[in-house]
Amino acid sequence: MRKVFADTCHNLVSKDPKVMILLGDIGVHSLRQTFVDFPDNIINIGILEQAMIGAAAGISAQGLIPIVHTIAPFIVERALEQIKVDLAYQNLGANLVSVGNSYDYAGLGATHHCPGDIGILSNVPGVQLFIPGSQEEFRSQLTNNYSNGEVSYFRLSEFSHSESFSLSNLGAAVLRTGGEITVISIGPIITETLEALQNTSATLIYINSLNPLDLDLIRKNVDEKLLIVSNLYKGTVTPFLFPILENKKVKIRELGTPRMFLRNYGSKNQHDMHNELDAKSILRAYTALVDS
Amino acid sequence: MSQTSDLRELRRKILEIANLASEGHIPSSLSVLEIIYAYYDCEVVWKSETVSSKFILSKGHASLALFVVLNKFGYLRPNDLESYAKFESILGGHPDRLKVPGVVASTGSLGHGLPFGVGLALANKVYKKEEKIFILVGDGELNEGSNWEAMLLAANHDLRNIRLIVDSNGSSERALSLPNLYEKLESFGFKVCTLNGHEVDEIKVWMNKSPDDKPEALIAETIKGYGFRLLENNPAWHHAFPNAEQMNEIIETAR
Repeated sequence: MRKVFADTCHNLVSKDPKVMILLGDIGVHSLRQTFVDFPDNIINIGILEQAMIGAAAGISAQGLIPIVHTIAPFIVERALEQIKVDLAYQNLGANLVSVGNSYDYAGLGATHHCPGDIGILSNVPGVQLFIPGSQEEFRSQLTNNYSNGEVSYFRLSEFSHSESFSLSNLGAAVLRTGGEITVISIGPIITETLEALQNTSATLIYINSLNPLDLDLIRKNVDEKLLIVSNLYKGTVTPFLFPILENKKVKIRELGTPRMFLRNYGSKNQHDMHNELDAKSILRAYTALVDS
Repeated sequence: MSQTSDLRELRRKILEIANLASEGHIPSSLSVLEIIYAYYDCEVVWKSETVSSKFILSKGHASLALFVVLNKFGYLRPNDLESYAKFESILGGHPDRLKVPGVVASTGSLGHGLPFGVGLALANKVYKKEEKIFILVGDGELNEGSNWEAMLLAANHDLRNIRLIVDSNGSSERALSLPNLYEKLESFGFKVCTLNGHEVDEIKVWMNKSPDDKPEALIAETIKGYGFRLLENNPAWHHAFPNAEQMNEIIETAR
Protein backbone atom coordinates (compact mmCIF):
# COMPACT_ATOMS: atom_id res chain seq x y z
CA MET A 1 0.00 0.00 0.00
CA ARG A 2 3.02 2.32 0.10
CA LYS A 3 2.63 3.15 -3.58
CA VAL A 4 -0.99 4.11 -3.17
CA PHE A 5 -0.08 6.16 -0.09
CA ALA A 6 2.37 8.15 -2.18
CA ASP A 7 -0.07 8.55 -5.07
CA THR A 8 -2.93 9.59 -2.80
CA CYS A 9 -0.80 12.12 -0.93
CA HIS A 10 0.42 13.63 -4.18
CA ASN A 11 -3.12 13.86 -5.43
CA LEU A 12 -4.41 15.46 -2.21
CA VAL A 13 -1.62 18.05 -2.10
CA SER A 14 -2.21 18.93 -5.74
CA LYS A 15 -5.85 19.69 -4.98
CA ASP A 16 -5.57 21.07 -1.46
CA PRO A 17 -2.66 23.37 -0.57
CA LYS A 18 -3.53 23.00 3.12
CA VAL A 19 -2.21 19.43 3.16
CA MET A 20 1.18 19.09 4.86
CA ILE A 21 2.97 15.75 4.79
CA LEU A 22 5.45 14.89 7.54
CA LEU A 23 7.61 11.82 7.02
CA GLY A 24 9.56 10.16 9.79
CA ASP A 25 12.34 9.35 7.33
CA ILE A 26 10.09 6.64 5.86
CA GLY A 27 8.49 6.70 2.41
CA VAL A 28 10.81 9.46 1.22
CA HIS A 29 11.71 7.74 -2.03
CA SER A 30 8.08 6.88 -2.81
CA LEU A 31 7.11 10.52 -2.38
CA ARG A 32 10.07 11.98 -4.31
CA GLN A 33 7.82 13.56 -6.93
CA THR A 34 5.82 15.36 -4.24
CA PHE A 35 9.07 16.84 -2.91
CA VAL A 36 9.72 18.18 -6.41
CA ASP A 37 6.20 19.42 -7.20
CA PHE A 38 5.14 20.72 -3.76
CA PRO A 39 8.26 21.42 -1.71
CA ASP A 40 6.40 23.62 0.78
CA ASN A 41 3.91 20.90 1.62
CA ILE A 42 6.15 17.98 2.49
CA ILE A 43 8.96 17.58 5.03
CA ASN A 44 11.14 14.64 5.85
CA ILE A 45 11.14 15.53 9.53
CA GLY A 46 13.69 12.96 10.64
CA ILE A 47 13.67 10.27 13.26
CA LEU A 48 12.03 12.13 16.16
CA GLU A 49 8.48 10.92 16.47
CA GLN A 50 7.50 12.81 19.63
CA ALA A 51 8.38 16.18 18.14
CA MET A 52 6.88 15.12 14.82
CA ILE A 53 3.46 14.57 16.37
CA GLY A 54 3.78 17.70 18.52
CA ALA A 55 4.68 19.71 15.45
CA ALA A 56 1.74 18.16 13.58
CA ALA A 57 -0.52 19.53 16.30
CA GLY A 58 0.93 23.01 15.88
CA ILE A 59 0.56 22.75 12.13
CA SER A 60 -3.06 21.69 12.59
CA ALA A 61 -3.69 24.58 15.02
CA GLN A 62 -2.65 26.96 12.24
CA GLY A 63 -5.30 25.54 9.91
CA LEU A 64 -3.21 23.17 7.83
CA ILE A 65 -3.95 19.43 7.53
CA PRO A 66 -1.09 17.17 8.59
CA ILE A 67 -0.53 13.69 7.20
CA VAL A 68 2.10 11.99 9.34
CA HIS A 69 3.80 8.80 8.22
CA THR A 70 6.18 6.29 9.70
CA ILE A 71 6.30 2.68 10.94
CA ALA A 72 3.44 1.73 13.28
CA PRO A 73 5.21 1.30 16.65
CA PHE A 74 7.13 4.53 16.21
CA ILE A 75 3.96 6.57 15.80
CA VAL A 76 1.65 4.75 18.17
CA GLU A 77 3.87 3.52 20.95
CA ARG A 78 6.68 6.05 21.05
CA ALA A 79 4.54 9.14 20.51
CA LEU A 80 1.38 8.00 22.29
CA GLU A 81 1.28 10.88 24.78
CA GLN A 82 1.68 13.36 21.93
CA ILE A 83 -1.25 11.75 20.10
CA LYS A 84 -3.31 11.96 23.28
CA VAL A 85 -2.32 15.40 24.57
CA ASP A 86 -1.26 17.39 21.52
CA LEU A 87 -3.85 16.10 19.05
CA ALA A 88 -6.87 14.37 20.57
CA TYR A 89 -7.18 16.34 23.83
CA GLN A 90 -6.89 19.61 21.96
CA ASN A 91 -9.36 18.67 19.21
CA LEU A 92 -6.70 19.11 16.56
CA GLY A 93 -7.20 16.99 13.46
CA ALA A 94 -4.41 14.98 11.89
CA ASN A 95 -3.94 11.90 9.76
CA LEU A 96 -1.56 9.29 11.10
CA VAL A 97 -0.63 6.73 8.46
CA SER A 98 1.43 3.79 9.61
CA VAL A 99 3.09 0.92 7.80
CA GLY A 100 4.09 -2.45 9.11
CA ASN A 101 0.74 -3.71 10.33
CA SER A 102 1.05 -6.39 13.03
CA TYR A 103 4.21 -8.10 11.80
CA ASP A 104 4.79 -7.29 8.15
CA TYR A 105 8.42 -6.62 9.11
CA ALA A 106 8.72 -10.17 10.42
CA GLY A 107 12.41 -10.42 9.63
CA LEU A 108 13.23 -7.27 11.59
CA GLY A 109 11.93 -8.59 14.87
CA ALA A 110 9.53 -7.49 17.58
CA THR A 111 10.67 -3.86 17.81
CA HIS A 112 9.00 -3.35 14.43
CA HIS A 113 5.81 -5.32 15.21
CA CYS A 114 2.65 -3.56 16.27
CA PRO A 115 -0.34 -5.86 16.91
CA GLY A 116 -1.26 -3.49 19.76
CA ASP A 117 -1.75 -0.27 17.82
CA ILE A 118 -5.52 -0.37 17.53
CA GLY A 119 -6.02 -1.48 21.12
CA ILE A 120 -3.73 1.28 22.37
CA LEU A 121 -5.35 4.00 20.29
CA SER A 122 -8.83 2.83 21.26
CA ASN A 123 -7.96 4.23 24.69
CA VAL A 124 -7.46 7.71 23.27
CA PRO A 125 -10.96 9.19 23.04
CA GLY A 126 -12.16 10.07 19.57
CA VAL A 127 -9.40 8.61 17.41
CA GLN A 128 -10.74 7.17 14.15
CA LEU A 129 -9.37 3.70 13.45
CA PHE A 130 -9.12 2.61 9.83
CA ILE A 131 -7.77 -0.79 8.78
CA PRO A 132 -7.89 -0.75 4.98
CA GLY A 133 -7.71 -4.15 3.36
CA SER A 134 -6.79 -2.99 -0.11
CA GLN A 135 -5.11 -0.13 -1.90
CA GLU A 136 -8.40 1.18 -3.20
CA GLU A 137 -9.96 1.07 0.26
CA PHE A 138 -7.10 3.14 1.67
CA ARG A 139 -7.28 5.63 -1.18
CA SER A 140 -10.98 6.08 -0.52
CA GLN A 141 -10.64 6.28 3.27
CA LEU A 142 -7.87 8.87 3.24
CA THR A 143 -9.47 10.96 0.50
CA ASN A 144 -12.85 10.98 2.23
CA ASN A 145 -11.57 11.64 5.74
CA TYR A 146 -8.31 13.60 5.57
CA SER A 147 -9.92 16.97 6.21
CA ASN A 148 -12.67 15.97 8.64
CA GLY A 149 -10.96 17.57 11.64
CA GLU A 150 -10.55 14.26 13.47
CA VAL A 151 -7.46 12.39 14.55
CA SER A 152 -7.53 9.52 12.07
CA TYR A 153 -5.25 6.48 12.20
CA PHE A 154 -4.74 4.45 9.03
CA ARG A 155 -3.15 1.05 9.53
CA LEU A 156 -1.48 0.12 6.26
CA SER A 157 -0.06 -3.25 5.33
CA GLU A 158 2.31 -4.55 2.70
CA PHE A 159 -0.39 -7.14 2.02
CA SER A 160 -3.80 -6.44 0.57
CA HIS A 161 -6.77 -8.22 -0.95
CA SER A 162 -7.78 -7.76 -4.56
CA GLU A 163 -11.56 -7.85 -4.07
CA SER A 164 -13.97 -4.99 -4.61
CA PHE A 165 -16.48 -5.00 -1.78
CA SER A 166 -19.60 -2.88 -1.65
CA LEU A 167 -18.96 -1.21 1.70
CA SER A 168 -21.37 0.81 3.83
CA ASN A 169 -20.50 4.39 4.72
CA LEU A 170 -19.10 3.06 7.99
CA GLY A 171 -16.78 0.57 6.28
CA ALA A 172 -18.63 -2.72 6.52
CA ALA A 173 -20.07 -5.21 4.07
CA VAL A 174 -22.00 -8.46 4.36
CA LEU A 175 -20.19 -10.62 1.84
CA ARG A 176 -22.63 -13.46 2.20
CA THR A 177 -25.33 -14.74 4.52
CA GLY A 178 -25.62 -18.30 5.59
CA GLY A 179 -25.75 -20.55 8.63
CA GLU A 180 -25.77 -20.04 12.35
CA ILE A 181 -22.19 -18.76 12.56
CA THR A 182 -21.20 -15.24 11.67
CA VAL A 183 -17.59 -14.45 10.87
CA ILE A 184 -16.28 -10.89 11.07
CA SER A 185 -12.99 -10.41 9.27
CA ILE A 186 -11.01 -7.18 9.58
CA GLY A 187 -8.68 -5.65 7.04
CA PRO A 188 -6.20 -7.56 4.85
CA ILE A 189 -6.74 -10.90 6.61
CA ILE A 190 -9.98 -11.17 4.63
CA THR A 191 -7.82 -12.92 2.00
CA GLU A 192 -7.10 -15.82 4.34
CA THR A 193 -10.65 -15.70 5.72
CA LEU A 194 -12.23 -16.05 2.26
CA GLU A 195 -9.95 -18.96 1.46
CA ALA A 196 -10.78 -20.65 4.75
CA LEU A 197 -14.54 -20.30 4.48
CA GLN A 198 -15.05 -21.01 0.77
CA ASN A 199 -16.78 -24.34 1.37
CA THR A 200 -18.72 -23.33 4.49
CA SER A 201 -22.11 -21.74 5.03
CA ALA A 202 -20.85 -18.97 7.30
CA THR A 203 -22.35 -15.51 7.24
CA LEU A 204 -19.36 -13.35 6.45
CA ILE A 205 -18.95 -9.69 7.37
CA TYR A 206 -15.95 -7.67 6.26
CA ILE A 207 -15.02 -4.43 8.03
CA ASN A 208 -12.17 -1.99 7.44
CA SER A 209 -12.97 0.51 10.17
CA LEU A 210 -13.33 0.03 13.93
CA ASN A 211 -14.15 3.67 14.65
CA PRO A 212 -16.52 4.46 13.10
CA LEU A 213 -17.98 0.97 13.31
CA ASP A 214 -21.13 -0.18 11.56
CA LEU A 215 -22.75 -1.73 14.61
CA ASP A 216 -26.21 -1.79 13.01
CA LEU A 217 -24.98 -3.94 10.16
CA ILE A 218 -23.23 -6.29 12.57
CA ARG A 219 -26.22 -6.44 14.95
CA LYS A 220 -28.52 -7.50 12.12
CA ASN A 221 -26.18 -10.31 11.05
CA VAL A 222 -25.00 -11.85 14.30
CA ASP A 223 -26.97 -14.67 15.82
CA GLU A 224 -25.72 -17.26 18.34
CA LYS A 225 -22.11 -17.80 17.36
CA LEU A 226 -19.52 -15.30 16.27
CA LEU A 227 -15.97 -15.79 15.03
CA ILE A 228 -13.81 -12.67 14.82
CA VAL A 229 -10.72 -12.81 12.62
CA SER A 230 -8.02 -10.15 12.76
CA ASN A 231 -4.28 -10.06 13.27
CA LEU A 232 -4.55 -7.53 16.09
CA TYR A 233 -3.78 -8.75 19.59
CA LYS A 234 -6.30 -11.43 20.47
CA GLY A 235 -9.17 -9.82 22.36
CA THR A 236 -8.80 -6.38 20.81
CA VAL A 237 -11.95 -6.43 18.69
CA THR A 238 -14.59 -7.95 21.00
CA PRO A 239 -14.85 -4.85 23.25
CA PHE A 240 -15.79 -2.76 20.21
CA LEU A 241 -18.90 -4.99 19.93
CA PHE A 242 -20.04 -4.62 23.56
CA PRO A 243 -22.81 -2.11 22.65
CA ILE A 244 -24.60 -4.79 20.60
CA LEU A 245 -23.81 -7.73 22.87
CA GLU A 246 -25.65 -6.46 25.93
CA ASN A 247 -28.79 -8.53 26.51
CA LYS A 248 -27.75 -10.96 23.79
CA LYS A 249 -26.38 -14.46 24.20
CA VAL A 250 -23.59 -14.94 21.68
CA LYS A 251 -20.79 -17.46 21.83
CA ILE A 252 -17.68 -15.58 20.69
CA ARG A 253 -14.29 -16.77 19.59
CA GLU A 254 -11.76 -14.13 18.61
CA LEU A 255 -8.66 -15.05 16.64
CA GLY A 256 -5.68 -12.76 16.76
CA THR A 257 -2.01 -12.39 17.49
CA PRO A 258 -1.11 -13.94 20.85
CA ARG A 259 -0.17 -11.41 23.54
CA MET A 260 3.49 -12.26 23.66
CA PHE A 261 6.62 -10.97 21.93
CA LEU A 262 7.05 -12.74 18.60
CA ARG A 263 10.71 -13.63 18.85
CA ASN A 264 10.94 -15.49 15.54
CA TYR A 265 11.92 -13.86 12.25
CA GLY A 266 11.10 -15.32 8.82
CA SER A 267 8.08 -14.06 6.89
CA LYS A 268 4.66 -12.65 7.64
CA ASN A 269 3.10 -15.86 6.32
CA GLN A 270 5.21 -17.97 8.67
CA HIS A 271 4.03 -15.87 11.58
CA ASP A 272 0.44 -16.26 10.37
CA MET A 273 0.83 -20.02 10.56
CA HIS A 274 2.59 -19.83 13.91
CA ASN A 275 -0.17 -17.59 15.29
CA GLU A 276 -2.91 -19.80 13.76
CA LEU A 277 -4.06 -17.00 11.49
CA ASP A 278 -3.52 -18.77 8.15
CA ALA A 279 -6.49 -20.10 6.15
CA LYS A 280 -6.23 -23.65 7.52
CA SER A 281 -6.17 -22.43 11.11
CA ILE A 282 -9.11 -20.08 10.52
CA LEU A 283 -11.13 -22.99 9.07
CA ARG A 284 -10.15 -25.15 12.05
CA ALA A 285 -11.37 -22.47 14.47
CA TYR A 286 -14.58 -22.08 12.50
CA THR A 287 -15.24 -25.84 12.52
CA ALA A 288 -14.57 -26.02 16.25
CA LEU A 289 -17.11 -23.25 16.82
CA VAL A 290 -19.66 -25.05 14.63
CA ASP A 291 -19.18 -28.21 16.68
CA SER A 292 -19.29 -26.47 20.04
CA MET B 1 -1.16 51.96 38.22
CA SER B 2 2.57 51.39 37.90
CA GLN B 3 4.06 48.17 36.65
CA THR B 4 5.55 47.50 40.08
CA SER B 5 2.25 47.83 41.88
CA ASP B 6 0.53 45.85 39.11
CA LEU B 7 2.90 42.96 39.73
CA ARG B 8 2.52 43.20 43.52
CA GLU B 9 -1.23 42.97 43.08
CA LEU B 10 -0.95 40.01 40.70
CA ARG B 11 1.36 38.13 43.09
CA ARG B 12 -1.11 38.62 45.89
CA LYS B 13 -3.92 37.50 43.58
CA ILE B 14 -2.06 34.27 42.85
CA LEU B 15 -1.86 33.59 46.57
CA GLU B 16 -5.51 34.41 47.17
CA ILE B 17 -6.83 32.25 44.34
CA ALA B 18 -4.69 29.27 45.31
CA ASN B 19 -5.81 29.69 48.90
CA LEU B 20 -9.47 29.88 47.87
CA ALA B 21 -9.26 26.77 45.66
CA SER B 22 -6.61 24.80 47.55
CA GLU B 23 -5.10 24.14 44.16
CA GLY B 24 -2.28 25.40 41.98
CA HIS B 25 1.48 25.69 42.02
CA ILE B 26 2.23 28.99 43.73
CA PRO B 27 6.05 29.16 43.64
CA SER B 28 6.22 28.01 39.99
CA SER B 29 3.69 30.69 39.08
CA LEU B 30 5.61 33.39 40.95
CA SER B 31 8.73 32.30 39.12
CA VAL B 32 7.31 33.22 35.69
CA LEU B 33 4.85 36.01 36.45
CA GLU B 34 7.05 38.83 35.14
CA ILE B 35 7.84 36.91 31.94
CA ILE B 36 4.16 36.35 31.16
CA TYR B 37 3.31 39.92 32.12
CA ALA B 38 6.05 41.19 29.79
CA TYR B 39 4.63 39.16 26.89
CA TYR B 40 1.05 40.38 27.25
CA ASP B 41 2.23 43.97 27.82
CA CYS B 42 4.10 43.71 24.50
CA GLU B 43 1.15 42.03 22.83
CA VAL B 44 -1.11 45.03 23.47
CA VAL B 45 1.24 47.18 21.40
CA TRP B 46 1.88 44.51 18.75
CA LYS B 47 -1.83 44.08 18.20
CA SER B 48 -2.20 47.81 17.57
CA GLU B 49 0.65 47.54 15.06
CA THR B 50 -0.79 44.32 13.54
CA VAL B 51 2.31 42.39 14.55
CA SER B 52 1.29 38.76 14.94
CA SER B 53 2.46 36.72 17.92
CA LYS B 54 1.59 33.69 20.02
CA PHE B 55 2.53 32.57 23.52
CA ILE B 56 2.63 29.02 24.88
CA LEU B 57 3.02 28.27 28.56
CA SER B 58 4.63 24.87 28.24
CA LYS B 59 5.11 24.53 32.00
CA GLY B 60 1.34 24.56 32.36
CA HIS B 61 1.42 24.06 36.13
CA ALA B 62 2.25 27.78 36.36
CA SER B 63 -1.26 28.46 35.08
CA LEU B 64 -2.10 30.75 38.01
CA ALA B 65 0.41 33.27 36.69
CA LEU B 66 -1.03 33.01 33.19
CA PHE B 67 -4.58 33.42 34.42
CA VAL B 68 -3.99 36.50 36.58
CA VAL B 69 -2.19 38.11 33.64
CA LEU B 70 -4.92 37.12 31.15
CA ASN B 71 -7.40 38.64 33.59
CA LYS B 72 -5.34 41.81 33.87
CA PHE B 73 -5.23 42.18 30.08
CA GLY B 74 -8.93 41.63 29.59
CA TYR B 75 -9.11 38.04 28.32
CA LEU B 76 -11.23 36.70 31.18
CA ARG B 77 -14.69 37.47 32.54
CA PRO B 78 -15.03 39.15 35.96
CA ASN B 79 -15.72 36.01 38.00
CA ASP B 80 -13.48 33.56 36.17
CA LEU B 81 -10.52 33.89 38.52
CA GLU B 82 -12.63 33.26 41.61
CA SER B 83 -13.94 30.06 40.03
CA TYR B 84 -10.40 28.68 39.58
CA ALA B 85 -10.27 24.87 39.82
CA LYS B 86 -13.97 24.56 40.63
CA PHE B 87 -15.83 21.75 38.82
CA GLU B 88 -17.27 23.84 36.01
CA SER B 89 -14.60 26.53 35.84
CA ILE B 90 -12.81 27.31 32.60
CA LEU B 91 -9.64 27.67 34.67
CA GLY B 92 -7.81 24.70 36.14
CA GLY B 93 -4.41 23.60 37.30
CA HIS B 94 -3.22 23.56 33.70
CA PRO B 95 -4.48 25.74 30.82
CA ASP B 96 -6.96 24.31 28.31
CA ARG B 97 -7.04 25.95 24.89
CA LEU B 98 -10.62 24.81 24.33
CA LYS B 99 -11.80 26.73 27.41
CA VAL B 100 -9.54 29.70 28.10
CA PRO B 101 -9.52 32.67 25.73
CA GLY B 102 -6.01 33.53 24.64
CA VAL B 103 -4.55 30.09 25.29
CA VAL B 104 -2.94 28.65 22.14
CA ALA B 105 -1.92 25.21 23.42
CA SER B 106 -3.26 23.06 26.22
CA THR B 107 -0.38 21.95 28.40
CA GLY B 108 0.19 19.92 31.53
CA SER B 109 2.48 17.05 30.64
CA LEU B 110 5.91 18.56 30.21
CA GLY B 111 7.88 18.75 26.97
CA HIS B 112 4.92 19.45 24.70
CA GLY B 113 4.92 23.22 24.21
CA LEU B 114 8.08 23.58 22.17
CA PRO B 115 7.28 20.90 19.54
CA PHE B 116 3.80 22.44 19.26
CA GLY B 117 5.35 25.88 18.76
CA VAL B 118 7.68 24.49 16.13
CA GLY B 119 4.59 23.20 14.31
CA LEU B 120 3.04 26.67 14.42
CA ALA B 121 6.21 28.10 12.90
CA LEU B 122 6.46 25.38 10.24
CA ALA B 123 2.90 26.17 9.17
CA ASN B 124 3.80 29.86 9.00
CA LYS B 125 6.53 29.01 6.51
CA VAL B 126 3.84 27.56 4.24
CA TYR B 127 1.71 30.68 4.71
CA LYS B 128 4.85 32.86 4.36
CA LYS B 129 3.65 34.61 7.49
CA GLU B 130 5.80 36.43 10.03
CA GLU B 131 4.65 35.62 13.56
CA LYS B 132 6.66 35.69 16.77
CA ILE B 133 6.13 32.49 18.70
CA PHE B 134 7.13 32.49 22.37
CA ILE B 135 7.35 29.23 24.29
CA LEU B 136 8.02 29.31 28.01
CA VAL B 137 9.52 26.11 29.42
CA GLY B 138 10.90 25.24 32.83
CA ASP B 139 14.52 24.28 33.31
CA GLY B 140 13.39 21.00 34.88
CA GLU B 141 11.14 20.49 31.87
CA LEU B 142 14.23 20.51 29.66
CA ASN B 143 14.91 16.99 30.96
CA GLU B 144 12.30 15.92 28.41
CA GLY B 145 13.95 14.82 25.16
CA SER B 146 11.07 16.12 23.04
CA ASN B 147 12.36 19.65 23.69
CA TRP B 148 15.73 18.84 22.23
CA GLU B 149 14.10 17.13 19.25
CA ALA B 150 12.11 20.30 18.67
CA MET B 151 15.24 22.45 18.96
CA LEU B 152 16.89 20.37 16.24
CA LEU B 153 13.87 21.01 14.04
CA ALA B 154 13.76 24.73 14.80
CA ALA B 155 17.40 25.15 13.82
CA ASN B 156 17.24 22.85 10.80
CA HIS B 157 14.23 24.65 9.35
CA ASP B 158 15.52 28.16 10.16
CA LEU B 159 12.54 28.95 12.36
CA ARG B 160 13.85 32.37 13.29
CA ASN B 161 10.54 33.42 14.83
CA ILE B 162 10.80 30.78 17.54
CA ARG B 163 11.58 32.45 20.86
CA LEU B 164 12.25 29.90 23.55
CA ILE B 165 12.24 31.18 27.13
CA VAL B 166 13.72 28.98 29.82
CA ASP B 167 12.50 29.69 33.33
CA SER B 168 15.81 28.99 35.00
CA ASN B 169 14.70 28.77 38.62
CA GLY B 170 16.97 25.92 39.63
CA SER B 171 14.32 23.18 39.47
CA SER B 172 16.61 21.05 37.35
CA GLU B 173 19.14 20.98 40.19
CA ARG B 174 16.84 18.74 42.24
CA ALA B 175 17.40 15.77 39.96
CA LEU B 176 19.12 16.08 36.63
CA SER B 177 21.19 19.24 36.42
CA LEU B 178 21.68 21.19 33.21
CA PRO B 179 25.22 22.54 33.36
CA ASN B 180 26.31 24.94 30.63
CA LEU B 181 22.76 25.52 29.44
CA TYR B 182 23.85 28.56 27.46
CA GLU B 183 26.35 26.50 25.50
CA LYS B 184 23.90 23.63 25.11
CA LEU B 185 21.26 25.88 23.57
CA GLU B 186 23.83 27.60 21.41
CA SER B 187 25.15 24.29 20.12
CA PHE B 188 21.58 23.33 19.17
CA GLY B 189 21.50 26.32 16.83
CA PHE B 190 19.91 29.02 18.99
CA LYS B 191 21.06 32.56 19.58
CA VAL B 192 21.08 32.72 23.36
CA CYS B 193 20.68 35.56 25.83
CA THR B 194 20.60 35.54 29.65
CA LEU B 195 18.54 38.02 31.64
CA ASN B 196 17.03 38.53 35.07
CA GLY B 197 13.63 36.93 34.59
CA HIS B 198 11.99 39.29 37.04
CA GLU B 199 12.95 42.46 35.16
CA VAL B 200 9.95 43.12 32.94
CA ASP B 201 11.48 45.97 30.97
CA GLU B 202 14.58 43.97 30.04
CA ILE B 203 12.47 41.03 28.95
CA LYS B 204 10.31 43.33 26.85
CA VAL B 205 13.36 44.68 25.06
CA TRP B 206 14.34 41.09 24.19
CA MET B 207 10.80 40.28 23.09
CA ASN B 208 10.59 43.38 20.91
CA LYS B 209 13.76 42.97 18.98
CA SER B 210 13.60 41.93 15.36
CA PRO B 211 14.18 38.29 14.53
CA ASP B 212 17.76 37.15 14.10
CA ASP B 213 18.68 34.71 11.36
CA LYS B 214 18.18 31.78 13.74
CA PRO B 215 15.81 30.77 16.54
CA GLU B 216 16.44 32.51 19.81
CA ALA B 217 16.49 31.42 23.43
CA LEU B 218 16.31 33.48 26.57
CA ILE B 219 17.62 31.99 29.78
CA ALA B 220 15.53 33.87 32.31
CA GLU B 221 17.24 33.67 35.68
CA THR B 222 14.43 33.46 38.19
CA ILE B 223 13.65 32.62 41.79
CA LYS B 224 10.99 30.05 42.48
CA GLY B 225 8.40 31.75 44.71
CA TYR B 226 9.70 35.21 43.80
CA GLY B 227 8.00 38.13 45.53
CA PHE B 228 7.41 36.60 48.98
CA ARG B 229 10.62 35.85 50.83
CA LEU B 230 8.95 33.10 52.85
CA LEU B 231 8.20 31.17 49.66
CA GLU B 232 11.40 31.82 47.75
CA ASN B 233 13.35 28.67 47.01
CA ASN B 234 11.30 26.84 49.62
CA PRO B 235 10.35 23.41 48.19
CA ALA B 236 7.72 22.85 50.90
CA TRP B 237 5.38 25.18 49.01
CA HIS B 238 5.66 23.55 45.54
CA HIS B 239 2.07 22.27 45.57
CA ALA B 240 0.84 23.47 48.98
CA PHE B 241 -1.73 26.07 49.98
CA PRO B 242 -1.54 28.56 52.80
CA ASN B 243 -4.26 28.84 55.43
CA ALA B 244 -5.41 32.29 56.60
CA GLU B 245 -2.70 32.59 59.20
CA GLN B 246 0.02 31.50 56.78
CA MET B 247 -1.33 33.90 54.16
CA ASN B 248 -0.68 36.79 56.50
CA GLU B 249 2.80 35.53 57.29
CA ILE B 250 3.60 35.18 53.61
CA ILE B 251 2.21 38.57 52.68
CA GLU B 252 4.31 40.19 55.40
CA THR B 253 7.40 38.95 53.56
CA ALA B 254 6.43 40.60 50.27
CA ARG B 255 9.20 42.31 48.35
